[in-house]
Amino acid sequence: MTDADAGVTFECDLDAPPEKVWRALAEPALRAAWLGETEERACEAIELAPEAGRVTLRWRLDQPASLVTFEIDETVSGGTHLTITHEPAVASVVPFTPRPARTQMSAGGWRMAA
Amino acid sequence: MIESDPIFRALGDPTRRAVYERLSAGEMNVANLKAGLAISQPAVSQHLAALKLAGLVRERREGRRTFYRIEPAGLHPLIDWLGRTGAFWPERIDRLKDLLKRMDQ
Repeated sequence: MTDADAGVTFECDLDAPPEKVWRALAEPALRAAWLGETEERACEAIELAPEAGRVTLRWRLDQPASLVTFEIDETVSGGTHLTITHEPAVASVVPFTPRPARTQMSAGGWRMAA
Repeated sequence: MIESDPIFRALGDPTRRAVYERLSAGEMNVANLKAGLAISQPAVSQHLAALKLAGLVRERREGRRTFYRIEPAGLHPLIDWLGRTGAFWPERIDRLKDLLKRMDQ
């Protein structure tokens, strides 16, 4: 296949506030509960940006490893709009450059939930 | 670039799929494999060659005998393909919705 640049995107509305969805995306134990134990073990969180509502995982189940990004936004009704992007990791060829939002987060002293 | 086409071709044939499934029990030679299938030994060899070409089966020689076994990494392109084609994420989204409901309690 020649779709090396191709990524897939899924979007859905969740009947839960963004804070709660954030926990399900960012906390490894909760993430494993819906993503799967095997998937959780094979992925690595490379970006956790709560203010931007974004979690990026290095997805090592693909060869070569790809990137999975979750982005959340609050909906007008107080629910959460979730966007999942699964795309080839350009970062595996070019060294990963943190996005601006990530730098802000580090400066904000954000701590990772082990 | 790893291609998934040879895998689909290899596993698209029911007999070849049966050969592959039999190998999931462990390493075998052509005679062992033939014992469970209603096909000739040359036909088994031909199917094994196609599975090998697709990267699904590996062979090991011991003197004049050849043993075959499943190459687990051979299925990776297929797993990639499943991940890219929508079979994976919608199912995970359903599981996430279930979890969010359970988190209420």
